[in-house]
Amino acid sequence: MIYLIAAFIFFLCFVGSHILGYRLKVVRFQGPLFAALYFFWFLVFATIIYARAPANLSGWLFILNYPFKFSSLVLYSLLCLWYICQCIVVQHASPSLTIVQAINHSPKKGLSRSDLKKLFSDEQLIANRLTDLVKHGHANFDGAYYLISKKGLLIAKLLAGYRKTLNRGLGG
Amino acid sequence: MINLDFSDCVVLGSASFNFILFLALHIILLRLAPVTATAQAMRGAIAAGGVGTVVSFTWLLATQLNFGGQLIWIILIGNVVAILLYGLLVFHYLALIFGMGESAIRVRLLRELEQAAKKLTLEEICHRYNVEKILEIRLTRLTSTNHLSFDGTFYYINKPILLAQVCLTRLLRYLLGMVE
Repeated sequence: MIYLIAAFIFFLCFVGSHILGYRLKVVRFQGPLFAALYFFWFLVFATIIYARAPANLSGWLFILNYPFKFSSLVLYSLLCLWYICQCIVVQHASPSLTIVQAINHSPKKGLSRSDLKKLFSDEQLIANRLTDLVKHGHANFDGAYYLISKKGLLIAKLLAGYRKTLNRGLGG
Repeated sequence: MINLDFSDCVVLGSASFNFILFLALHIILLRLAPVTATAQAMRGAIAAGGVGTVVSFTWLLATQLNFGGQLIWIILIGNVVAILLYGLLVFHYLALIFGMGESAIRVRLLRELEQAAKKLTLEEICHRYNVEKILEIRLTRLTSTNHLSFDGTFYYINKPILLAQVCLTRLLRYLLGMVE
């Protein structure tokens, strides 16, 4: 069990090093940098797990004798992925969270549909995201028209197949 | 003698097996349920996988090994870990795969461009998919999942879960030193 506690400690090391790196402007939200930080702390954790002799504690501390080595490494990996998901939310304001935040901040703790509509604009929700699609090569833009690229078409078809399997529509 | 490697493998095995069970079950339930019952179908699949994790872990350990007086502790600790791993696997699936198809605006735009099968201007895209539709989809989803309640005029927060996510996001932005 001691390694399970260690999994949380190494997860906090991963989060702490990313926050420190971000504040020092050394890292941002790039995938390779997340991967490098993750593998660094993973290697330190795995080395400690396999180099350290098994615990042999008595009394109530015997609970700590159960190492759950593999489970600890998997737990650390999944927690790191959870943090990366949170970083995605931080970068891209979710409309659902914007709605909840606006309702919570309103004096009556309630908002009408027309109030909520004022929070968003086509420019903010559509145009910015189309720019992102073009930037990542999922669509092409010639100055006036948008056209889906081969890469975008592949993703769209894969997702369409997935949604069809679930018997669900376009989503969004 | 306690076989620690075995209990470790059982934790991973029961969490991953029941995650696969959840995946299969959520496909079946979503295919049967109407769109308005998506949240209920997902909750059912998640709960079934969670119960399966506890049952399979406990059954495997209790029947396969003789732990003597320490069995209860291994079962308790192992179940907590197995449920935690199962919960994280489900969370990542919902956040990164299911959520992407369900609510990502970029994915919807990509599918609009694919369905159009021709070049579209920004105005044409906004005619097909716009703020009005985005708001409609979200309000329907948030009220059907009881995150929000609607009295005919105003929307109110019903469950604090999304509010907790808002607070977490704000905390992370603060820790990262991002300007609010």
